[in-house]
Amino acid sequence: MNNDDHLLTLKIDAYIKGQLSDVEQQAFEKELETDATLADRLRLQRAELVLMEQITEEDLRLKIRKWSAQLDDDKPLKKWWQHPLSIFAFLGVIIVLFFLFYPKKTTNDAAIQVSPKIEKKDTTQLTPTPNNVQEAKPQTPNPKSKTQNPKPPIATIQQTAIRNDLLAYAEDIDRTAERGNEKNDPLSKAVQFIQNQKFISARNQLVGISSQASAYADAQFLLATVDYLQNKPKAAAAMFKTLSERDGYIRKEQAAYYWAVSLVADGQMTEAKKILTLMAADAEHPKHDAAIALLKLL
Amino acid sequence: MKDTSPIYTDDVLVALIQGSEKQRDEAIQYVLKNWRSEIGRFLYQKGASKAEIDYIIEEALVIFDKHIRARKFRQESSLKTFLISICKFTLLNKARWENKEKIAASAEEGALYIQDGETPLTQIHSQERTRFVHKVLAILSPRCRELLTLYMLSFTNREIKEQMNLPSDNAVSNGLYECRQKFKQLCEKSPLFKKIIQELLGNE
Repeated sequence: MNNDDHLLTLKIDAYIKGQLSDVEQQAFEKELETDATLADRLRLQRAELVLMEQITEEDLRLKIRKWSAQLDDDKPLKKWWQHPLSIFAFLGVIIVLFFLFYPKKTTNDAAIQVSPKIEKKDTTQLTPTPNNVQEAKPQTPNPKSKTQNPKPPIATIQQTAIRNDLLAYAEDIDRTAERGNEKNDPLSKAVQFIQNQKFISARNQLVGISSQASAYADAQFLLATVDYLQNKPKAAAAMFKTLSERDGYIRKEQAAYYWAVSLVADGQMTEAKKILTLMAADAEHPKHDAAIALLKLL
Repeated sequence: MKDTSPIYTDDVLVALIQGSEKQRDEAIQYVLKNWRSEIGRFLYQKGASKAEIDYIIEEALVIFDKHIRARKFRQESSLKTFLISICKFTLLNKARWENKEKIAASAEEGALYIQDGETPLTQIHSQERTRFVHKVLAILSPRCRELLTLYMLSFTNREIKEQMNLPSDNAVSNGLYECRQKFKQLCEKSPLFKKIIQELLGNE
């Protein structure tokens, strides 16, 4: 190492950095005026120092870049539920699943009309209303209703049987009723409407039949059927009761049974049980077995 | 996970930056960790992009470090305010350089105007010089780079000896001389260096 050269280098550095004392500085500046080589060396060294300063800065810059990258890496990853998009996606999936598995209601008018009374009493499984029968087939347990019990299969069968019975009677009425002009017979039309579940049209046909006509009692039976299928058990019960008390009417025993069934649907269990017990006691009654089956359910 | 890192006051941070290289690194890391997000949000509001934010914070920290080591920070404001005003200045300069008038107008208010003739910012704009610095950094050994860095940070021979675990002050002096000579040779070999000298001398 050239000691003198190194010392001169340090002295020039100190001058550039302003670290010399006033006396030393004045002496150095006086030397500069006379020594052109020293003046050149000062200029070169000033440039060197600027570059060295820049190297120092660049060194720090590289460190800052490295630390910043480390900080970015150390950032805790958000949990999936902390991302707003994930929340929306999750809710979307829930909604889609809800609509996929939620029980679909049938579109016919019988299914749309649900008796609030029956829902309140939660007797849908036991009351043999045709609406319940309609809904019973595709129905899965409703997640909203915590109080609703699983539907017993026997009740479903019973309800389906009642509905099918009533429709069979309607057909039977259509086949056997005494009537005049068959083509425009309102009774026949009404039966067709009932079978197609067009209850309002059926009712319109039936109310026009005169009380004097021979088909009047059958028309009343069909009206009661429509009431029952439209989930109007009180009206149906009243009509079936009248028919069950009508002397000479060939379907008075059936009317009595459906009176009881309508009373069950209306929640009048005591009276319904009385009627059904009488039927169950009478082995000759055409609805003897059906009455026993319904009594067991009650 | 609970953050157990210490909380430094402005006085402690200033003392650390003016201390050894290790202490300075610790202080800058602390500033970066604790203030970067806030300053980044501030710059974003001023219209800077993500890439610009990273660049501005990096440049501002270099100036911040240089000013504190040169004892130019007079503690008239908090350190964070000081750093933010440097960031504003850096953003302003960058925007003017790139003719982004809107961002420049936004950054102008409260920007710290650094009056040095040769600021790191003006230097960084000279791409040739930056390329040269990178070339020198690649050629110099890590030991030489550390020695020269500590020397430029105005560390005494004794401090450099302690920092680099060297046997004596003489070893520091010899090492420094050798590295300086190497650096000088690198500079003299490079045609770019002459150009840079002309440029620097022209600024005098």
